This record gives sequence, structure tokens and C-alpha cells, in this order.
Amino acid sequence: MTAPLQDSAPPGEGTDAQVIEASRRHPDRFGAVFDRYFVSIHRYIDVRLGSSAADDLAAETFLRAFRGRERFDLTSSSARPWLYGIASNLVAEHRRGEARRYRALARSAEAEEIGSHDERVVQRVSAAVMQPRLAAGLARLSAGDRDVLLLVACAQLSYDEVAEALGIPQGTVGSRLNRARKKLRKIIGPAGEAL
Amino acid sequence: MTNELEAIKDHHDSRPGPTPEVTARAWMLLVEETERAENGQGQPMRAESGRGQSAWAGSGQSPLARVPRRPLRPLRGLLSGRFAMRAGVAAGLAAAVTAGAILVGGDHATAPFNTPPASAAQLLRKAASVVTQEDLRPGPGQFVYIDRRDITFGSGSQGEYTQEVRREVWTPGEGSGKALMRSTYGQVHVISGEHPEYLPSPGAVEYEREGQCRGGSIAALPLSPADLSADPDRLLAKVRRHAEAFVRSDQRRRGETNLGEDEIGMRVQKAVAMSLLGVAQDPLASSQARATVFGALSMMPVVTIVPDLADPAGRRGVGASIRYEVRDGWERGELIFEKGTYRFLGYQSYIGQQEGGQAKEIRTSGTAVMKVEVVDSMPEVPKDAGKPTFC
Repeated sequence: MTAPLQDSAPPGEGTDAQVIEASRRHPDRFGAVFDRYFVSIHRYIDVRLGSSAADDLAAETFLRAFRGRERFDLTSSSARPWLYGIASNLVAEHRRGEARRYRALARSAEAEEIGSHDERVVQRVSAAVMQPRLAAGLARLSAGDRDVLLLVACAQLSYDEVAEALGIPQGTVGSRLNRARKKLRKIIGPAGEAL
Repeated sequence: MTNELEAIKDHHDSRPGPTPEVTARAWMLLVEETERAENGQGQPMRAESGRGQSAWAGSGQSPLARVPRRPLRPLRGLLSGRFAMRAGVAAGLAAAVTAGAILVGGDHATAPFNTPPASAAQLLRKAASVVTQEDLRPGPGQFVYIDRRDITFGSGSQGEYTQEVRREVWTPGEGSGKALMRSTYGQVHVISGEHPEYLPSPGAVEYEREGQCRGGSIAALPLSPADLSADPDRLLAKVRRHAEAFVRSDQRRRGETNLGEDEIGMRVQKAVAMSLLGVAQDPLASSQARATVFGALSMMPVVTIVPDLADPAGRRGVGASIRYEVRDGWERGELIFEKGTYRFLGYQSYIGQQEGGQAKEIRTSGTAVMKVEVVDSMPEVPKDAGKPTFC
């Protein structure tokens, strides 16, 4: 297993499916999956639960993935949907924490809006701080809708991949995404005026 | 104009990502899991609860908390930056907590291997065989007592020096309290520069309770007792993997973005060597652990035999020397064994460089194990005992 230096597939190591298949006989080959996706999975969980939880749960995601590698569908060339699905399941175990976090972000940002115009401008251009209405909107989404929205927005998964990740029909992905976006737009205003 | 998906994506992309330490730790966890799988030990890290919940969700303990955050052995010297001990000598009690010990200077009547070893590999294999027969186990209320003669090395802006120190360690049996170390300082020998003013005077005595001082190491390779009881092949492979992960993680932590593979390779070699030597020289490590480490060292081609040398107490012996390159020269660790019995006598380390076409080495640390035995008591710490100097 090589050191975790990169977030993309090293050349010549094969597709995710090939690597995972090989890891069933040679467990250490699974390190390539970690190398490719650990940073992405960490960021995804960070958005949902914060960096501290992401530190633990991203590691847990890969432990669960490794233990469940026999169940990985080798006809799927990419492991991304599978890994994001595991990560989403772990996040689901902390749903209350996630909603609480968004509400807290919304409250803290609202408090900061009392500050000067300059401060607000700085904050608005700083994507590192989740915008208050966006946070408030995410807090009000149902867990299922939020899963779909964030897998599409953060992980850039296709409808097919989201369906695979969450184990739901593709049609459900579309309906959940539409519903989530509509709700969010109502809260954040037209054309993302609060963003 | 920004839509909600782009806003979320922007926020996501702006997140800093995991720190190198977090990445390295997660990777170590996975490595351990893969090794358990390779060993056919199934999936024992924790039991999954019946309702699909993470087992630690209700326990209040992250699975990561089970990974020892504290290294078993410090990599002294690899990252050191302070004017203090440079390498090798176990100055703290952080390492002095493991159970088991070895007996040095016992019955010398038998010399089980009369043929002198022809190579370092032979020497280390003999030493491994001998050390497995030497294991002291203190009973309830008893202590393993170790008496060592150490030479510490310091370097800094004021110059360089060595100092002799007698270190006595009392390590209790399981559940019998905390370990204690008593240091009796000896002469200071200035190598260059001025005589350091802050060092304990010759004759000064200091006490250090277990846990009183930090280990003083930023990082090390996490070797578990299971690793150290494995076969030497497996241990060596694992240490190499850990060393590479550690070096690359450390490189990123320190913001060194332009290190070449040669430099990384040198650091990995050093990390491997120091990690193994740290256990090999530790009389408090279990005999099984040391035997495994001796075996692992015997498989490293960079280890050479030194047919005749003296330990820091002046006792003659035969040595196994491991040398690793560093940026400005090399460093070398030397395990010293008694001739004929191949019992461990001590350890010393050197830094070297070419000067005027000649190789010049300076001894940076040394330890001679004078006595290891089981005793029934440890001394009381005087009420007026101050904080240890190197704490």
C-alpha cells in the first residue's frame, strides 16, 4: 500500500473495480481506493457535519468499505457512488447533529450580519463560511432530500450514481432533487440573492 | 448570478480537506485492518450493532480513539530541534511502561554459541535466540529494576557536549502503580563551544515519575505489541510501510513540497532504523519483541558486524551496526552484545560526515545496561525533589 498522497488514481493501477477485485485476494491493494478518494470523502462529510466529525467518519467510511469490499458491484467501474453511499449512511447516523450544525451556522452568520457592510462583503465572498440562508435552508430539508442535493452538488454524482449510492430508484432522485432545490430557493431567495 | 447548487459546490470546494495527520491516521487504521484481513483474523475492529448503527455511535468512543495516539517508541533525532538530547537515550519514562524485561549480567558460565558470528545477520539471529530465554516478570507489588550508564549528547548554538548519567528505572508489575526513574548526573565533556550552564552539576540527582514529562517526540511509528510478536519479515514490511507513510505525512506537515525521492528515501531508511533500534536497545521491551526486532534487523543488508568494540561502560563486545544516510552525511546505531553469550550489553549512536576526505564520527548517545532484576520496592521521591531538567 502506498502513502496517501493523492486524491486521484495513479496511472497504471487500474479502475476502481479492478483494484477492489484485486483487494479481495490481496487486501493491501485497497490502499489505492483510499489514495483516490479519502480527501473527497472527507470534504463531503466536512460540509455535512464539520471537520472534527469528518476526521473520524471519513476514516470509518474506508474501514467499512474495506470490510464490505466483497459486496462491491464489480460492474461499476467507479467506487465513488459506493463510497459516498457509505459516507451518507454514516452521516445519517448523525442526522440530528447535521441539522443542528446548519441551524448553528445560520444563527452565527445572522449575528455577523449585524456588522459593518465591509464585513458582510468579506463574508459573502468567502465561500469557506456557509451562507446563513443556505445553511438555514439545508437545515429545513428532509434528510432524504438533503442527501440527494448534497451528493449532486458536492460530489457531482449523476442521477444514476446517486440512485446507486443511496439505493433508491432513479426517478426518486429526480423528484427529491427538484423538491430540495425548490425549497432551498424559497429560503435563499431568487437567483441566490443571499449567496 | 449563483444558483444553490453552485453555492454548495463552492462551499464544498473551499473546505481545507483533511490535515496530513488525519490522513495518515486514517491510512494507518486501514493498513491495520488490511493486515488483520491478511492474517485471516476477520473483521475484529469492532462489532457492528444489529440495527446498522456504528457501534461507537452509542458508546461515546470513536473507533479512532482505539488507535494509540501515543507512539510506542519515539523517533528521537528525526525531528528534534531543541537543545537537548539528540538521540538514542531513553530520557523519559514514556517508554518505560511495558511489561517484561531482560536479565543482563546473569550466569556467564554458559556460552551457547562458541563459533563467532561471521556476519551481522548471524550475530543478530543468535542474539534473538538468547533474548527469548530472558524474560523477567515481576509479581504483584514487585518492580523490574534497571541500572544503566548513559551518555547523552547535546548540541545547539552554544556548542556541543556529552554528559554521563546513571539512570535507574523501577517499573512496577501490572497494576502496581507508576514507574520511577532516578538520574544521577556525571561529568560534562565539551566537544565544542562553551560549557553549557544549565546542565545538572555532577552528582546532582533528579527523579522523574511516569507521566510527569512529555515524551518529547513529535511522531513515531505506531508499533503494537502484536506487530512486535509477529515474525520478523512481517514486522520489517510493516515498519517500512509505516515509515513511508510517516515521512510523507511529515513532509507535508512541514510544508516541504520539493523533496526529491532520494531525500524521502533517506528519511524512510532513517525512520525504519530508528524505530527498530528504539525497541532493540530498550531493556524494558519484552523479550519476544526484542527477538522479533533483532530478527528484522538481521534481514537488513545495511547492518554490518563490528567484531570488537566497547560499550559506554568499557565492556568489550561484538556489535551490529546499522548506518543510514542523512543530508549532510550519515548516522549510525550500534547494538553491542557480549562475546560468546550474545547477551545485550548496550547501544550507542553516531553522526558522521566527510571532512577533508576523511570520515569523522561523533558519538551522540550511549547506554550500557549494567543490571536488570526484579526487586520488591522502589525508593521514595524526596519531598524537595524538583522538576527534572529535561522535562
